[in-house]
Amino acid sequence: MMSERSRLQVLQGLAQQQDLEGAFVALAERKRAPFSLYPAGLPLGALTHLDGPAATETALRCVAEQQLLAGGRCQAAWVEARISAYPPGLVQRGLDLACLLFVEGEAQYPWAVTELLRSQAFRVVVVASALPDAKSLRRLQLAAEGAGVLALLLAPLPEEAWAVRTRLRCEWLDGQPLLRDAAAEAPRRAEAV
Amino acid sequence: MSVACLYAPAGLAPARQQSLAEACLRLSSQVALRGGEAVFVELAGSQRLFGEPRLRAGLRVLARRLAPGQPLWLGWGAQPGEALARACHDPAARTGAQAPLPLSAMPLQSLQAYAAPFGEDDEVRGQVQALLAALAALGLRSLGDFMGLPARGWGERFGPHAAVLRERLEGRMAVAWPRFSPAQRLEESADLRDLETLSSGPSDESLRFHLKQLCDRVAARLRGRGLRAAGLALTMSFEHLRQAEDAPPWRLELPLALPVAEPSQLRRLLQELMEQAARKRRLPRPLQGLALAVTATAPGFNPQREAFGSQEDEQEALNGLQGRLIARLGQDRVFYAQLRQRHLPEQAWVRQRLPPPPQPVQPKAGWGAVPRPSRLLQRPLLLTRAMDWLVYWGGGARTRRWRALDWQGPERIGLPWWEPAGPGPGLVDSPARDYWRVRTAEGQDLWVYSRQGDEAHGGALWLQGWWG
Repeated sequence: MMSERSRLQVLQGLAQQQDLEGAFVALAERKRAPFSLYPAGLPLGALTHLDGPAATETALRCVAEQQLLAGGRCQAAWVEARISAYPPGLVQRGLDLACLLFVEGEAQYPWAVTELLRSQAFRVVVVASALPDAKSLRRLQLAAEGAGVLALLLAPLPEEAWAVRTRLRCEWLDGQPLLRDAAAEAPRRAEAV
Repeated sequence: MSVACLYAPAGLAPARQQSLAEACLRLSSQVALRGGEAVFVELAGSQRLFGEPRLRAGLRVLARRLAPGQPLWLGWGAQPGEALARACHDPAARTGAQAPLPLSAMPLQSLQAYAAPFGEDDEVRGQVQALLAALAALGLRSLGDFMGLPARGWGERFGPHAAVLRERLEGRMAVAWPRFSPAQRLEESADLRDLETLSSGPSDESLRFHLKQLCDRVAARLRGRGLRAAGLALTMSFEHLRQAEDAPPWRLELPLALPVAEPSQLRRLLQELMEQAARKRRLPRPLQGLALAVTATAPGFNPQREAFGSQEDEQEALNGLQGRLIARLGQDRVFYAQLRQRHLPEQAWVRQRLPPPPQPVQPKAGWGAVPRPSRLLQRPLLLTRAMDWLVYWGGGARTRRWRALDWQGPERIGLPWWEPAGPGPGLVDSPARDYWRVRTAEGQDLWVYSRQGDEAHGGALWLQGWWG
């Protein structure tokens, strides 16, 4: 849940982070979206995969922060094969439902995601269901790149998902999501095995 | 007053002239026609807002869009007569590149434009022609020569028309503008046949080009009327063959959930519509023509919107996208969420087509203050409890299990006593549910409930949502 005070604290925290210096500039000049949980920022115009038990909470916090930063003019979309997002819970996390379009794609799900990304009408698109293959991921990546949109993938990736540039593992730590770079961890895990 | 005149030296088909005049309504409410030749637009107000160069460019774009392939000359003047005279006789009107001629250097023939700018009157034309011949015999060549004649005794020397024309040249005797009313039906058509061979069956690229032209024209006319399209009908006609029964044209209806006026959005919608139709059934013969009609309209945005930013453009793009998604996915699949004050979780919000009004981010009291999960299943799943484990038997790979670490609750939620128990999932014969938030070793928090009175069935648990 995010009260008015905690919203302000998030904004102040974002403004004070030295890592984010230079991130608060006009959209056209920015290549990364600032995000309090990931100081390097999330890449615009690329796919970001969020994995782990706190993935949804992380994505929602990201959308809420983008909406806060844009001052109520940040359009976001939540697209899923069959909608499982719970709007009362989303409001408790600080999301503005007036700027959040839900799309239930069902059989046409990959097409709907591509259209949403390609439209350039949204700053953030949350893709909450799995995509069928690496080819559709690649198509998505091209659409995201063309539109400069922040695309967050929450579902497991298909094999050979090389189109996904950023992969983050979202764990819980003291009730807060903690993000780790999953791509950097992968070799270490392999060595351990 | 400041007047622009679009003049077609080769003549303009009535439908094209009507369309062009209608599109010009976006710039001014005062528009008039000269039968089959010219369109006049009064631009004094718009000129102060946009400036003359921008208006000139806008008019040239409209002319190219609404009357493609036809030369249209743009004249500009303080009154309709001057604008028409410049459009007909000033070389600058053809290209717009040169500086306009001074009025005094314009040829004497320009007086015909001043005599009857909005329509040819044969009697007046004949009288003015006789006047021009008399003036030419005196050695006059330009309007400057004409105005240089002594003003005394004009009526006696050259007749009543000469005095009137002099008054008009000096801007003292205005002409009444005839009323222009746009046609009731907003329809545009395109012939897809090759102009040289008259063969049907356009290439994909050519079809897109024609579709774009249609959308441009319809959008310009809609904007002229201050409207947006809320419904479209596209008619596809097919090639006629000798000694063969004609294939009936296809009429594709497209009701739009959200009105659209931008040509690019219209084009995408129609492209999607045509692709869908072609997927369902095969084209009987090569395409020969397209006709686009607007079947329903809604009030449009303010035509002077550019002065206040591009918010309407963004909204327009969003409307177009929603229209395309709705056309393919269905009405209920593309929506905004509106919260409702209901206790049962699945009834606490509804889907709606338009964004909800702004509301407080977090309700301060009542059910809204209790933490809710971020995800909710549309149908709860029956869980089996075995020791510390909660198992969902989905069959094969869909089977999931969680090890419960901590149970928080219960929170009792039920229907109010005055509402009968409905046929909702897991709710039959059970007016209340006890909800638990279960912390699991896997890191996710589950939102499970047991129905009141279910003890007889071994205390079945239902998974309805989760945090994480």
